[in-house]
Amino acid sequence: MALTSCVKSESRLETVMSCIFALGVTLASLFVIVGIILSHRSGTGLDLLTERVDFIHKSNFFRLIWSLVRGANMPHGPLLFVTLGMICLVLTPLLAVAAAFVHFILTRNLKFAVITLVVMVILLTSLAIH
Amino acid sequence: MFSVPVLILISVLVGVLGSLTGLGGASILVPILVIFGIPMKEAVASTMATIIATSASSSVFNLRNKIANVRIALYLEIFTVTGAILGATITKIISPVYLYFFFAAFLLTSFMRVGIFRRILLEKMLSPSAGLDRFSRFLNLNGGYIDAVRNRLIEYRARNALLGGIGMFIAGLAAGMLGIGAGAFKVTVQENVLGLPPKVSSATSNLIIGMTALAATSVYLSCGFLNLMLMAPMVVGTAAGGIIGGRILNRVTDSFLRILFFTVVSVLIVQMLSKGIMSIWH
Repeated sequence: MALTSCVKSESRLETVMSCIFALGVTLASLFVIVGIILSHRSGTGLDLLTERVDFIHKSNFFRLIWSLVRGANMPHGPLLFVTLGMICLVLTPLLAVAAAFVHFILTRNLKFAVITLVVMVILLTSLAIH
Repeated sequence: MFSVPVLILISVLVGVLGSLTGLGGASILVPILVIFGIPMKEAVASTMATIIATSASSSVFNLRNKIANVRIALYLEIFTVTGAILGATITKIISPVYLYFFFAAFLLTSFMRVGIFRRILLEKMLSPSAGLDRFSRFLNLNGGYIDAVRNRLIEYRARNALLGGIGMFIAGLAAGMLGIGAGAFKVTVQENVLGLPPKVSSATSNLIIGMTALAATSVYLSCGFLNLMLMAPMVVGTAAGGIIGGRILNRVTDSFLRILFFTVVSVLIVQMLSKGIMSIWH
């Protein structure tokens, strides 16, 4: 009985997380594919060994998003789309964890709300400090 | 010539192979990138980002089918994420020569899943009949899913939660250091230490792998090891290969999979060891 109610209450969370993963990976793949096509059409991006990503160096994830929003020191063309794809990829699991946190708060499962919060704090700190 | 189309093709094949063997794409991709002359640290960082894509795409179905357990994944995530951040920081500092040997050594742990290693190392050490410890009872990491083959509800309850957490910290450490998902190791810990059913272990491990990779990617992002134009074709290729592999998995025999697994892992171990030895010589 307890298991059945537990499974039922979590099925909504699993559906939401599943949608977040599907949306995130589709969006990321689309950006990356557009980046590859543009790179191929410009005829400059096929040599993988020469392509560098200096704009990322010494910049943490949130600073990277902020520069993208401001349009400062950002790449153009193919690399911009690949960067957007990478940002979507990184945000996908983060959003899934955030959804789990909201679910546990709403269902008053404080034990797992705390566990999820710890995971979220570690992930956010890691993205912010590096 | 190592170009985008070649890398997409390689990534599709690796995706299929990784999906069939259960190794995931990254364990196979890192040695291949090294063969093509990509620096070890750049190869590790770039494959890390592709793991997020592979994990997310496979989790879509695992969550929808209620096989992956979100609560168990989040509890174990505390340990794997911490391990991954520490592992990636170690990789940032140490000489790449050591990474070749660590990689080979960690690939050896893949054999823990099969045969005599599993019997000797795990099943004898942790008796399945052992009762629930207090911490596992407190966490109450239970769940259930409908098994499509047996057409019935399979219920389970995780035990040895603390020991499982330590195992997952080691898996996270290796994943962060080597740019791999460490899926084989994670599945072994979940099956044999936590006592989860094989399907749940596999699905939950897939869910965990993406978040672990995210933590390590954050470290590599800031130190400039992440080559986006290297990452892009791999994301597309491994995701497509993973889907193809998943579709043909049910059509191949267990013995074929076992031979494939042993062959791939052995070749990778020899390749990484020889690269490490060559690096010392030069």
